[in-house]
Amino acid sequence: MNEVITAILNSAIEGSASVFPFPLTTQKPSLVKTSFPMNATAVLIGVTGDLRGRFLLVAEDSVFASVAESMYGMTLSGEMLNSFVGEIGNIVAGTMATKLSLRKFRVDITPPTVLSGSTTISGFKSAIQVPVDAGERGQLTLLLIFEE
Amino acid sequence: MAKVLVVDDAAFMRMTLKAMLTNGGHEVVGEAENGLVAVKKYQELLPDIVTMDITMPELDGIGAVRGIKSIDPGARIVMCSAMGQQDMVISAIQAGARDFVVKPFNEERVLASIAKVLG
Repeated sequence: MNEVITAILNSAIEGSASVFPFPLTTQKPSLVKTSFPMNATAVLIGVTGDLRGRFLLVAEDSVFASVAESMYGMTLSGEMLNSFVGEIGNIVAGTMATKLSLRKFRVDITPPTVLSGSTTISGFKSAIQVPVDAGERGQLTLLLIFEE
Repeated sequence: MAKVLVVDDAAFMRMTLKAMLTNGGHEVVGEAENGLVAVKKYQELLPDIVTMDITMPELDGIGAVRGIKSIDPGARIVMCSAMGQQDMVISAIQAGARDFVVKPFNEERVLASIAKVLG
């Protein structure tokens, strides 16, 4: 099981690093038990296939807007920013799936769901959160939820 | 200049692709947010080329490529997806896609693929 978690974790971190066009500093991963409270924007993607779970990318709107500007040179807000949040989740999760395939795990991903505001993600036994520092742009958090 | 149908579930990505294609002198004649709408719009619009996402609700991009190719075996379709693993690329090509562009992409890469497929 530890090998599987390491493969997922490394694929998620490598996927993020190859998608974002600026340096990222990955903080120490930590275990999350049963629930994850958040007050920000998040994109949730389901992972199916050899490994099953959910992937979330969480950040303030301003961080996602800054990512959009650095990747596509566009200043986004409102519905178009929400759409970008879904798309960046799809791109990071898709790149993670590609990295996992190099480790011999075949997975597929679902279309994204975007969550906003104060909420609590629950209904899981364990998850791993990885804070990622994007310098002056702020911080993003990767949340990897594992299904048994 | 080609008439292009852009298929992606994200409005942001459709907007971005439209801007890139327009900059390259192409005309986006239609947009679709899932595979089912894509097959329907292909029949209506008969575009010269289609850009096709893979992960979409209702019907995914691979299913949409099969649907379009069953209507028009000569259809020219370029996949534009973040799912760049080898078996996904092979599935897309086997379904009938002519090229595969992995997200995130830039304008140069998209236009080069369109030019290659248009021959």
